[in-house]
Amino acid sequence: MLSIENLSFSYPDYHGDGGHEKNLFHDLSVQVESGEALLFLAPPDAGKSTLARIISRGVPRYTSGTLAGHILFGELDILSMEAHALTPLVTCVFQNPQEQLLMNTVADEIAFPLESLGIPSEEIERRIQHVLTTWQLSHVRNVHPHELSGGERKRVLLAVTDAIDAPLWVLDEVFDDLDVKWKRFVMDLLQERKKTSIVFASRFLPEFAARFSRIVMMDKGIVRTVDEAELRQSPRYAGTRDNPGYTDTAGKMRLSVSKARIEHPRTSERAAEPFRLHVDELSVTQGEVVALLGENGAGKSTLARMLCGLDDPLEGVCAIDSHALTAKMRKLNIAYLFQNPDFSIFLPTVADELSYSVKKQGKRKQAVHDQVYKVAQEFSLDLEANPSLMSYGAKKRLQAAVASLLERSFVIIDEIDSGMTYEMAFQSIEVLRRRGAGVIIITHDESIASSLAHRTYMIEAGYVRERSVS
Amino acid sequence: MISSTFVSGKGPWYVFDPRAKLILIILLCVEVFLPVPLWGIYLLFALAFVSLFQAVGLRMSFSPFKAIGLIIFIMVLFIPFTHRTGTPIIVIGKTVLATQDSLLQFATHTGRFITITYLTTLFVWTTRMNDILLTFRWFSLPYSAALVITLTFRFIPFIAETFTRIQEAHSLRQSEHSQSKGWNALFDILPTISCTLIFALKSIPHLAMSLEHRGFGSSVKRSSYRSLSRGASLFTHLLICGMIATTFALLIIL
Repeated sequence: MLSIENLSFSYPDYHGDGGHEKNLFHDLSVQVESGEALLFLAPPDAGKSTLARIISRGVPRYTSGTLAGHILFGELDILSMEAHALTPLVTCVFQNPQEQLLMNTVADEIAFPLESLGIPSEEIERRIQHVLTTWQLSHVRNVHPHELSGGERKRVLLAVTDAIDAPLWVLDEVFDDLDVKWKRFVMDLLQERKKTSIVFASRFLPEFAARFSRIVMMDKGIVRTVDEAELRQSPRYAGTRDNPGYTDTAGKMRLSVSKARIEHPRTSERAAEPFRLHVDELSVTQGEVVALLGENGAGKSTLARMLCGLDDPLEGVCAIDSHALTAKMRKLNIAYLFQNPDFSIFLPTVADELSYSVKKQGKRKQAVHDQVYKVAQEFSLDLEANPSLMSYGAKKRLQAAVASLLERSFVIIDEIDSGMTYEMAFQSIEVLRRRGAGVIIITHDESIASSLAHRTYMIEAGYVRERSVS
Repeated sequence: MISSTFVSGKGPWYVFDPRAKLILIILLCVEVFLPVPLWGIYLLFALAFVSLFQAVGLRMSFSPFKAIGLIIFIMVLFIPFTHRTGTPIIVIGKTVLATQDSLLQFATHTGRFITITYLTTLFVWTTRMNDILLTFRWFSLPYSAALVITLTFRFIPFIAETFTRIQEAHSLRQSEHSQSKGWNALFDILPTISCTLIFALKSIPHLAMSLEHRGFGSSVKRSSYRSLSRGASLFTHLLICGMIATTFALLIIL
């Protein structure tokens, strides 16, 4: 049994309203029975990732902070152990897979912790073969994890977790990048193996229904047990709402792609097939929300990169109305919110970050201030906050706020739901849509697609096709 | 977190035992710094270039040039000014811009620099990182030291890759009014550089944390999933590499 008892934690740079050091959580107590899968729900910035790292002894070791309380796993006092001593006992999958990948090939990534445990090479090879088959990664065995999609990288980390086969799994927002098939697979696996596991999440996904033995919710540092019926009534965590329906698109600009072909090779594995994507027809009109769905590695982000002008297609046309767009014109007309928000956030405060692009538009100081203040309110952002200390979900909100200020005609949002509650994701997309932008949302969450999108495109077997209206 | 340094390709460089390959690369790098004639340096560079071209293709084989282009440009600017002896060749008014000696020095230094760049690139691009790590360990380097070296090899391209991603993200935030040119464009790169540095610095604790989570630092004796081949093939490869290094040395000395 995992027992978290009276745990309190504070970061030195995390301040409350009074400007003093404030506990991220205080006197937190949670028990996870042996073989139990516990869902731990909390909004972004509540401390889920921090708690995951405390359990795996990454915090406060690699990040400073003040910790009090106890974590017991069976008879073992986890907080008195070194992180490397926990490798055979606890495996943690972080929200951002980029932070955990170390090796140059998928096979080496799986082998590394097994080598640390002193497992013989024959057994390592057997486990590698097994998990590559289980997680359908055999075709990328010698490919660098960097060349994989976000969802594939998460699968690599889950395959590593599976290969170590520790008795306790800590999964931090692990479902965000996974498509529906793999979300269900992970849920099945947790139930079949009867792993003691804590799944940290910002929202209650449809795939979670009736799968967890217990659900706890943390808000403002207080943890309580909730049931699914209560969660379904919660606008913050439940994923359904009325679709805005048809939008009048008369007289508005229409972005379209036709007969496009995109291709790029994998540099680390010559034998692997180059990635190919075909788009016969795709369009979005201003004020419209279009969802782009597809399995992990299908090419959603690749298509987004082409649309916003970062890459060029081998053939085909990208146009607004009847005017073909060069890459430079696409950059000026289409905003793209990267899957990883860290790439686009670099200034010391939220206020600086938001005003950066507006100032570059040549606006006056007061106009910049007013606009920034309004957008910060719309996206629930604290103007004085330090972006590098914000949670993943809060950074995604900041990204959306920046895109809103850019006033582009079209916006592509790559996995906006990562680390966000449904309420926040809906709110962010709605603000962009109300401003008149045509929005393409890339998501694995069918609830978001069905609640927000007027139309949906699917990527299957290298082809982008519109899904019939339900 | 870490970008690849290995590039898939074909040819003998992928077949060579990494231990033999490392010894050959070190020997050739040493030979290029011996008092060899200029044509010898460029002959070795030509061999390294052709080898890289044969291994990874024409387009990739030019990319080391892009990486060192700025440094060569700085060498063009400064070497002629630091070597003032010899027959003047480029003269404006009464000012001697370059002499025969300075051009010879420039050609020598540049030749050595691009040759060792291509030789080391050839080694790193055609050898999987785990094999490099095993090679270092075969030369009796402790595991942790070998891991640090290989992580460093991988960290540099990771920073380059991050810089590109951040640059792309920033390019998407430009407006028609803010299309910078000249000096402004140079200043506009500062946020990208600062963002890359922050990203790189933040990744260091993540890297350390991940290594420890994966059992690095444990007192348990590590096993090794991969192993380098032993016996006849290593001897043959060492012999071939020794012959290449000796042939080149004799060619340029005689």
